[in-house]
This record gives sequence, C-alpha cells and structure tokens, in this order.
Amino acid sequence: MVYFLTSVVRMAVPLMIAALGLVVSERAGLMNIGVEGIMLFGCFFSFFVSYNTGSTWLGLLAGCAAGIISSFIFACASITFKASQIVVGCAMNMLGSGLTAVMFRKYFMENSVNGALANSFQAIPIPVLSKIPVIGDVFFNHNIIVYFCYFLIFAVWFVMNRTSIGVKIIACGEHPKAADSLGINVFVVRYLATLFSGFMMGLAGTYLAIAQSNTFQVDMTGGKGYIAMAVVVLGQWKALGVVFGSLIFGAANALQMAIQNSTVINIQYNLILAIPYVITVLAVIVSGRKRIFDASAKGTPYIKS
Amino acid sequence: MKKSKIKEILSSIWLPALALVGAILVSSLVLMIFGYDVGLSYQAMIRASFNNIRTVGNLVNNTTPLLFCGLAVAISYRSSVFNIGAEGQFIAGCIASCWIGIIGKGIPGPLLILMMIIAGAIAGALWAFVPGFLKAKYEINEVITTIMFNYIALQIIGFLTRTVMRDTAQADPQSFKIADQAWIPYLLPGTKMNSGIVIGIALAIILYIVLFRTPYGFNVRAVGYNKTASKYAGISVKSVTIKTMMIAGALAGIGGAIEVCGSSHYIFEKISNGFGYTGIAISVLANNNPIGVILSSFLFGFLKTGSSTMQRMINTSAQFTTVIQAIIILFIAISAASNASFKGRTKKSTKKGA
Amino acid sequence: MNVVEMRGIYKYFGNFCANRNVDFTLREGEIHALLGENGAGKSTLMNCLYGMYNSAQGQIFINGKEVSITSPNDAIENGIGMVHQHFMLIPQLSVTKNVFMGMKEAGLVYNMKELDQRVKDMSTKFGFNVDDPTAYIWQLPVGVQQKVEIIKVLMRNAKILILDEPTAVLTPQEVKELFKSLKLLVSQGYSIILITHHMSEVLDYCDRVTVMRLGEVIGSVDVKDTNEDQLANMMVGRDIDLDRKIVPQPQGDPMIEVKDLRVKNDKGLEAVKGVSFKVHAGEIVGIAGVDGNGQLELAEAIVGGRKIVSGDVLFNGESVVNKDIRYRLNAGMAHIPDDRQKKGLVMQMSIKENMVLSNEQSDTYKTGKFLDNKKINAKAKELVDEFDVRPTDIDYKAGSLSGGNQQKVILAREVDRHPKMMIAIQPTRGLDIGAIEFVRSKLIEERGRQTAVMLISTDLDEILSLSDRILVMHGGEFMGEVTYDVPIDKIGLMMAGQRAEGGAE
Repeated sequence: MVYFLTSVVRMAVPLMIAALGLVVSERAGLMNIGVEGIMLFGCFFSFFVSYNTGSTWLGLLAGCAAGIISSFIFACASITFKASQIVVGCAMNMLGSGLTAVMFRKYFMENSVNGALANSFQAIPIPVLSKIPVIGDVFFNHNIIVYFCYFLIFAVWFVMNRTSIGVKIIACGEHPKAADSLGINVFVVRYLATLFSGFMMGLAGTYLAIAQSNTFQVDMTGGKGYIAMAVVVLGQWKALGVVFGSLIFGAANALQMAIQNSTVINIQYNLILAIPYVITVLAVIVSGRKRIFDASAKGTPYIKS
Repeated sequence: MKKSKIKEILSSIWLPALALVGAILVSSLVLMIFGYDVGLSYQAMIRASFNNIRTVGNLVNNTTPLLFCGLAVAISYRSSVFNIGAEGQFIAGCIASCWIGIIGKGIPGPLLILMMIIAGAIAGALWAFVPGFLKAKYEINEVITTIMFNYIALQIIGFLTRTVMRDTAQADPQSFKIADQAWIPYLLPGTKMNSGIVIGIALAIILYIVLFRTPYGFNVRAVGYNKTASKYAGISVKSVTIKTMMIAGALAGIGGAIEVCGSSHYIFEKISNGFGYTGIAISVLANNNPIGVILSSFLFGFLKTGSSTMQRMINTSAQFTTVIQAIIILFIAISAASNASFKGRTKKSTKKGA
Repeated sequence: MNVVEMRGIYKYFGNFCANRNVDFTLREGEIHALLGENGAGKSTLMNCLYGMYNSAQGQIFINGKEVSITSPNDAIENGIGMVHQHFMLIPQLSVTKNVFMGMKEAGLVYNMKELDQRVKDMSTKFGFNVDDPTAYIWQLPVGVQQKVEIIKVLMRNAKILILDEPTAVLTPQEVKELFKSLKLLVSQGYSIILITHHMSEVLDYCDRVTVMRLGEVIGSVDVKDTNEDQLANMMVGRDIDLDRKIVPQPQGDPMIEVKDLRVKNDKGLEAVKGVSFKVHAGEIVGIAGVDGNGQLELAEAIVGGRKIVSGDVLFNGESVVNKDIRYRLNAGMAHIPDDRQKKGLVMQMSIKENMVLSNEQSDTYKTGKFLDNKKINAKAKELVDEFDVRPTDIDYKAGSLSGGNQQKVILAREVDRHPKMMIAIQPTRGLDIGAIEFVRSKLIEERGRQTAVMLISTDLDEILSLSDRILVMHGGEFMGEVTYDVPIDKIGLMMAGQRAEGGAE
C-alpha cells in the first residue's frame, strides 16, 4: 500500500509540474497544446547532457533550457505573429517528436549506443520527516525534483494570489485591453508566462528522462502533456486544484502499473494502458462545464490598435 | 468582378507558396546543422516518389489516407471545431471495415467493399460523435477530448490485434487478412497505386460542393465564422457542430476502410502512422479548402514517401519528415495570421469610420 | 492655466481620418465637455491623449511642457487618467486588486490589509460608497463599478480625468450623484474632460464645451455663453429636426402579446420581472430606458435567443415559447439585433452571403437542394440597389463595410422577408446621420405596411419621434405607458424607477 501511494506521488509529479506551468500560461490567455512536444525537448536534452557530462545537474539545466527555448518558438509565433495557437501547438508537438527522434538516432543509434543509460537523480530521504510512518515514505523519500515541485506548488499559488505579477497575469488573460490601459505590457506578460510554462514543461520532461527513469525513448511522454492540460481543467485553473487533479491521474497511472505487475489480475495490457486516457475524458466531462477562472481571452492574440 | 476573383485566387496562393519556400530553407538549415548532405537528402526524397511509375504508385498509396484525413480536418475546422481526432477516427474506420472484411467471406466483392466502406464511415462518425456532442452540449473543449480518443483508439486496435482479431500465423501482432474479393485492385498493375485515391478526390469535390453550394455547407461556414450571428439567424449551432464532427469522422473512417481494402488488407497497431495529425497540417496548408486539400495531401504524401528513402540513403531518422511538416505548419500559420491581421486592421478602420 | 493643450492632432485608421488637425485645451479646475455625435472622433482624440494609439501625430503639452505620450504609462506619469466607456475591470479580481493592478507603488507582494484600507479611505473621501474592497467586481452593480474605475484613476495620482460617456449606463439620479462627486473633485484642483453626446449634461454641469464633428473641432465655447440650439447646430451642422415622422394610421390586431414574462440575464439574475404588453399590426411601440434594465433580455426572449423562465409569448395568436429561432423567423418575425457585428452579420462573409443568412432554406435562393448563385446574385443586387448599400459590389466582405452600410444589409435582409413583426434593438446606435435617417424611414415604411414594430432604444429622441406608444422600462419592469408629448422630466423619472401615476399595469 505504501509502495502504491509512493508511486502515486511519483507519477503525479511530472503532470503537476507541467500543469502548474499551464495554469500560469492559460490564465495569461494562452492555449498551448504543444506541451507534449516541449516536454519531449526537455526529456531529450536533459538525457543528452546528463549522458555526455555525467552530471544530472547539468542535465537538469539543459532540460529546463530546452523547455524555455522551444516555448519561445510558440510565443513568437502565437504572440508576436498572432498565429492560431492550436495550430502552432500542433506544430510544436510534431517538432518535439520529430526533432528528438532525429537527434536520438543521430547521436545514439548511429554510434550504436542503443539503450544508452544516463546518470539520474536518486531519492534523497529527508532527515526526520522521512521517518514518519507512511507519510515519510510517500512524500519525503523522493528525488530532488519532487521536493522542488513541492516548492513550486507554493510558489505558483503565492504569485498568482498575493503578488502584482499574479494580478497582471490574470488581467492579461481576462481583459488584455484593460491591462494595456493601465500600462501593463500584455506582450511581455504573455511572453514571460509562456517562457515560465516552457521552463516547467522542460522540467517535467527532465523528470521523466533522468529522475523517473534514466533513458530517453522516442515519444516517451506518451500523452502526459495532454493529460496535464486535462489536469488544469480538473483543477479549475488554480494551483491547489492542479495538485489535487494530478494526484488523481497519478493514482490512475499507479493503478495501471500495479495491474500490469500484478500476478492476480490478468487484463490485456492495451486495455490497462487506456485507463488514464479514459479517466482524462471522464474528468474533463465532470469538470469542464464549470470554468469561471478559465481566461476569457484565451486563445486570442492581443491586437493593439 | 472576374479580375477580383483571379486576384483572390492569386492572393490565396502566394502566401502558402512563400511559406513553403521558407519552410524548405529552414528544413535545409536543420539538415545542415545535423551534418547531413542537403542536396543528397532532397535528391533521395524526389527519387522516392518520381523515379519510375512504381514509385509514383507509392506516392499515390501514401497520399490516399492523408487525403481523407485532410478532408476530415478541413470540414471540422470550417465550422471552428478543432478536431485533432482524425487519427482516432481513422483507426476506428480501419477496425470496423477490417472486421467486416474478415467475417464477410461469402459476400461478393463489390458489395463487401461497399459494406466495409460504410462500416468504416459509421465507426469513424461514432468515434467523432462523442467529442462533438460534448462540445455542442456542454462546451467541453474538443482539443483534449479528441486527443484522448486518439489514444484510446490506439489502445483498442492494439488490444484487438493482439487478442480476438490476431492472426497467430504471423510473428508480429496483426489481424487476419480480409477476404480476397474485398481487395480493391491497384490502378496500375505492378504498382501500389491505391485506387482509393479516386474515391478521395471525388469526395473532395463533393465536399467542396456541399460546403459552398448547399444550405448545410453555408451553415457550417457561418457557424465557423460567427456562432452568435448564426444562432440569431436561426441556425442550430449545436446540430451543425455535431453533424460536422460526424461527417469529419465518417471521412476519416472511410479513409481507414480504403486503407484496409486498397493497401494493407489487414490491420495492425501502427496502421495509422500519424495520418490524422498530418491531416491537420494538410488542411491548414490548404486553408481548409477541400480542393486545396487534394494538392496539399500530395505534398505531404511526397514527404511521407521520401522519409524512409531518406533514412536509407542519408541515415537520418524517418521522423525527419515530421520535422519538415512541423516547420511547414509554423510558416503557414504565421503567414495566414499576418494576412488576417492585415485584413483585421482595415476592418477596424471602417468600423471607426462609422 | 492650461493643464492640457493638444495641437494639430491627426489620427488615421487605415485610410480613414478619425482626427484631422484637432486643437484642444483643458483649463485647470474645469469640467470640459467634449461634445459630438457618435463617430465624431471624441473617443479617438482622448485615446490619443491617453496613449492608447501610438501612431497619432501632433503635439501635446501638459502644464505648458511638451510631452510625448505613446503609452498609457506615459499618460499616467503625466497625471492623466481615463475612465473608459467599457469598463476596464477584471471581473475575476477583487476591487482592491483592480485598483492597484499594474501600480508599481503597491509593491511586488501585496499587503492586502493595507491596500483594502486605502481603497476604503479614498472612497469615503469623495463619497463613492465602495464599501467592500474585497468583493469581486462581477458581484457589483454597474454604478459601483464605475466608482471603482474612478478610484483606480485617482489612486494613480491623476490630476486630469477623462471620462468617456460615463452616464450611458446610469439612471438620471445616478447621473446627479456622479456629477456631485465630479464637482467635489474639481473644487479640489482636479480637471475633468467629459466625453458625451448629451447636451443636457453639458448645459447643466460643465464649464466649457468643445464640439467635434466628423473628426474635426467645430469650436470651443463657455457653457454660460451658449445654448442648446447653438450646440445642436455645431454638432450636426444644421438644425436638427425633432419633428414627429409618423402620422396616425389605423392599427390591426395584436401581433405580439407578452404575458407576465420572466427572463434571466447572463449572470442568472432575473432581468425581466413579469412584463405584459401587446404590439399591434401597424404601430411602433417604443421601449425606453437606460441601458441594462432588461430591454435586451426582453427582446431576446421574444426572438427566441434567450430562455423564458415563465410567462407566455403569443405571436399572431400562437404561443411561441417552445419554438426555436428559425420557427419564429419563418412565422414572420424580423430582428435587428443590438450588436450588428456580433449578432447580425458574419463579418468574414460577403454582402450577398449575409443576405442569404437565415434565408438559406428559402426558395428565393435555392434551386432544388442547392444554393443557386444566379438567384443569390440577382436578389442581392436588387436589395443592394433598393437599400443603397455601398459599395455596390455584392462580393464585398461585410466586415469591410461602414457601420451604416452594415446596418443596411441587415435591414435589407430582414425587410425582404416581409415580416409581420419587427424587433429593432438600438437600430441607429453608432451610425452617421444619413444612415440613421435611412434606418428610421425604413421602420416607418414597415409600420406603413402594417408590420408591428417594437423599437428598443436608449435614445429618447428616437423613441419620441418614432413611437405610437412608449413603454418605459426600469429594473426589469414597466414603469408605465406614455405618449410622445409627455414632459421629458416625467419620462426621466420613470427611467429612474418611478411609476407613472395610476400605473399602467
């Protein structure tokens, strides 16, 4: 049971990180469906750097930087050039999937380093806290990115609710013209929100590649980016809601793994793999009808007259 | 007025053309960065399609499923439904038609083919119905639901080809072959020129007529541009949304059936090699115009055909063409937006002038 | 002393010149009205002063010093604040967060207690009665939202206030209150520019007035040296004709009968509270009232665009409560919506396609199951000629037409259906004079052919000159029925919520 709960947290963390990033960018008025692709960039570059330098920390830096740089492409196309955010998001997904596959082949398969393994982050039990029964193992015996994620939950909540930055972000998403009329630069706010969410997606990818596992596979995100979007809907565009939402999906994932490894329950594995996706649809149906905090101006570029 | 029409057509072509040139340049740059021989790459790509009549057959064969998916995306985008689900709808069509093709051993060929196509259409339409219904009735974002339905369809085909439909005589998991009489003959003997392309082109023309010459098509376009005005004009936005989604699903589903009858003759997990996602690129490039979709699906069919040759000749990943596609979409999306925002500006001025 | 001086301002939108060589001065401690019709360029000029447009040409002097204002930030730094006609508030944020939004002084991390208190203090100081600064904006009535806007501006230390049509959403009583606060501000050294097209506000409350017409300044005068006639002349360039345009005519049967109708607004609050009335064939019934008192919801319920909570709508004797919009249109209703660009037209479609809109199933445009381009072209050309739509090219996109021509396209489409009943909501808002007269004459023509016309307008002049009967609406209810010769202050009181003596219901 403790093992199951621990794996719930482990599975929830990448969704949580990506979804926290999405909360910021969606409330700023951007619909970035390119999460999947941007996460893949994070996966590949963190792995690539960690593999070549042996340093997980440099890998982490590279993964986050890759997220920021690739989301810059999205920001450029959709904010500056005002291209359709959904179409650009689709392109980002293709770019992420395609380029990482090309690079993986170029740098790993060409030199026949198949199944290359990189250094990865190891669990660091937190003194004292990790000794608490159940809770200690479930929450305080993880790798460093998980702890960083705990901090990010608080940080995103605090910034969105208690600071002028949060107010600016929400203003740009709800009523960009009003923000503009008060001298808030809508473009800068939206750019920064996108880059921050890119950083988070890169971090989520890093977690998948060099914390949860220690390798890269083509298309290894397997829809986690899209599920993070559903988590945001389920969490009603709020930091704490997103925590709750990603734990549900973490549980679905953990359940799926538990069933796969189980000797008692015997279900064909494709059906088990479908579980998170079915739950996503159900969750969106349940929560997607209420959306007071879904930014009114989401998906529409701001045109200054 | 004639002049303005020509002008309109020209203006609708020069931007995508410019975007294509830009995309080719950037793709070349990417190839160079990775140290591949650009000239050789493009040479490989062109030869893959146009070396001889047999390779042209491959081009047609690769284009056929893309054409159907492109049409599916085009009609839903016309009504402002962002159907990312052509992939899943295509798979649903493959499954249903293949199933009919396997169990219909005693049925005469033409009838069986027709039944398979109808089964594919129905399956695709049903697969699209749920997201369409959720969008129309509860305003649930179709982007997330259609993507999830793609993943679910993928797992279902994986499940079926590993269990109930599996032909255990084959090493890899795949279904039984469909009945022999249901194989649509190739257009040219000795090539893999899928005859389904003819059906696809015919459907594109019909779709064009439906969109621009019928009250229903009028409604689709009106709803796509402005839901509120459509509502006040007495158009049922919900029913148009659902119907359009179902037609889109049916088109993708027919594509799946054609793929099974005309090319693969059985199904396997990866039967749709991202066709639905490529359909988005095709439709965007064609500005969601069915006739344009014919041309742009050939372009993407060409890329697809070149991908494995490129892998063989310059040893890059076959996924490189996905990169090229992404770059094309980015350029097209940007050029379309700068065109629209230019129009938006002149619109604004006359509004102020009121 | 001149706190603001604008010299030679030009502003183009595309080829359209919205401001041409405009000079404008504001003196310290005055309320200065900027008067003009819709589209005269008043808002454009003020948006230039506030830095909303960065491509304007000309010179601006603040307190005698030349400044360059290219963004609202520059304007705020120069002590200029603007309250926009459409409020610039974020409904999902609290009053305090709205007030301090984007203010550097409030710091990075908000001290909510202190900031709430500052809002309260400011509110008390000028009598704004904004009591709960922690409330979300969407919970507040419009009048209070406006006060929040003003507090927002004052908090930024603005000494020069621009108010863009602040009274459009207020009752006459709220207007009085607002001007009381404004007088208080002026007495403390603030200077105010008031954009308006209501002469009475200018004459009653302002010190000076600048009149604009078609993007140019016609002149600036002291209010005490002028009168209504002179201002009207400057505004429209000729004597306005407030004569009645309709002559009495026999009326037919009741075409629409509304019984105890209740309707909710978008926020789920009851907006129409048990309203009953009839409109007969061949009469125009005007519904007067301040914006947002349930008129729009009432009209939308009759047309079928909004759910009815309870009550009945009989059209030509038949209950249409459970019928969809298309049924009602086919049965003979016509609808000129309040927002032509959002509800009336598909801007990306051509003139002819917009003529087809809502008639796409009609045999006028079809041959068999297909739309017939020949028929569409012929009919569209005919209508474009008859309604004098310009340009006459029927392939022109509706979005690139001027407001007046857009409205003509809608009128043409609706009139051509030969309706039994026409509901016109703010049919002349934002149009130029020629188009206004055209639209009004068409409504009268419709009345002449025994159509029942329901005219909803916040423009009292329009209601008075066109209506056979007038119903005054306030807070979702009818305050009573009057005729065109009613004294204007009586209608004013009814619009503010006072029932007519004897009661109409």
